[in-house]
Amino acid sequence: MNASMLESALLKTHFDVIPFGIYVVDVANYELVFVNRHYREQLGAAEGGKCYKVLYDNDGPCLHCRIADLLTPEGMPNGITAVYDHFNERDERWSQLQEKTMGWPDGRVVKYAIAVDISELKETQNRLAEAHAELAIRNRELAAQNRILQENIELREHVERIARHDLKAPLSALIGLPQVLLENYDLPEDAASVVQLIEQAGHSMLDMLNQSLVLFRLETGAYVLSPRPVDLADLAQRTAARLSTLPVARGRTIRATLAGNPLAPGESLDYPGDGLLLGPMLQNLVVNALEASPPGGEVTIDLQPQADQVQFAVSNPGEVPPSIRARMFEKYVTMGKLGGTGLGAYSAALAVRAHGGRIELDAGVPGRTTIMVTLPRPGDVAA
Amino acid sequence: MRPLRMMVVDDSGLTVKKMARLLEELGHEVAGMATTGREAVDAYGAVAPDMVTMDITMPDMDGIEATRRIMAQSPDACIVIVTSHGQEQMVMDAIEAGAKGYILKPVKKEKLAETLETIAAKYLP
Repeated sequence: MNASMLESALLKTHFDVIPFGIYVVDVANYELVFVNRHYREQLGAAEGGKCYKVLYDNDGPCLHCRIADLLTPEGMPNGITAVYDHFNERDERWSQLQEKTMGWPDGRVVKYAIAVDISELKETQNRLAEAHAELAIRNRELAAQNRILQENIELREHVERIARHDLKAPLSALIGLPQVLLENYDLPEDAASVVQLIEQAGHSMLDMLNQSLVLFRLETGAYVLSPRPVDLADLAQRTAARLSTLPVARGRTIRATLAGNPLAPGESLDYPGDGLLLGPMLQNLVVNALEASPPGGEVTIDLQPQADQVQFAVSNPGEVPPSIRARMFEKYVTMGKLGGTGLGAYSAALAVRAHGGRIELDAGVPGRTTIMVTLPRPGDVAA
Repeated sequence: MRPLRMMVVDDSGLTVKKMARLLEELGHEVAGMATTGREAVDAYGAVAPDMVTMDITMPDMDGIEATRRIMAQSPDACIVIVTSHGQEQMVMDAIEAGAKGYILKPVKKEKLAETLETIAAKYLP
């Protein structure tokens, strides 16, 4: 046995007693020069095979191969030790590899790698990395949702801006100028009635606009109630008086009462709420009642003050078809009337709820329909 | 969950086979396979899978770049990274590229099933 063989045998013996896998590769051709006992027990006689095939089941040099990092430009050992973790697809185990180049006793330049199985340790690290990834993915999803939310807010502001400024400003001319025409110009009767139609159309457009604006705020949760005293008795009387003169009444009468008795002039019933919501709400309910009444019928608005709440009942002859009773306060539900938007009862319900109140249909009396609104007095709202 | 059309991308033929077997055991159909990022990008449109499992370290084009390109072509694509790289930067790069899941090797059947199910529930019709 010559000196180099002896040296080589000695090295192999040393490598064999180390309790981790060690392999030695010729850096020139990836040929396995030696594997220690640990690998021999797994792989059998591996020497002579290509490291990438035998150890990693690849058809060419591995992508993670560090040989180039461990050599000088002249192809000699550079003294650097590469340390890295690697997952072996062949046996699905994780190793920490320590690799270095050296001169093998027979004169070849080789890389030796010591592989310590760290699969158990990696298991914990990997679960942590997966949890980290999951968190990052959720963050990204959240950011996307926030973006949509932000766009919705901008859209809402945009719609409000259009409604408030862009549409309302020209509408005020449409509503105001007919009065100027009627008062200052001696219009023939036909022309005057046309001008009045224009004015009425302007008013109903303004009403619709206001209503949709309020609806929009209520639906999107942008509305915050700031209660101020509203005289419900006055509101009921004014609503009754105004609607009686409009075409929608068509000969039907409207009567406002307080606990069943006619309202005396000057009688008041203060309720802390939002007049801008309560006015249209009452108007919507009374218009619905008028439309549902047979000709000559009487619609009543009865206010019923109590200690902790105010109720009012809007009642009319006629019945709500049973098929829509349960859905009466849903959006776009109409009783089939011509030109109905299905928003009146729905927006009334939203306005009532914005006051913490409730709205109910009472169809208990045959031949009559009553909408009962209950508004709690603040302080009872939360109860 | 309903069976998914899957595409498996990994440069190790062994891993592709193992992954395909796992997916089939879970009741899914392996409709396409690729061994490089570029192959995956080229094949994605024709295979039109519900979901892709994508390795990161591959020759020609890595899995993060392939994810980025597939997402650019098909923004609804569902790509799950299946890799041995758990370093924070790698994870962030993959997610920034549009990956919807991230699994570390060795792949456990339960983890794979759970990840596919979560993504399907969130993103697939």
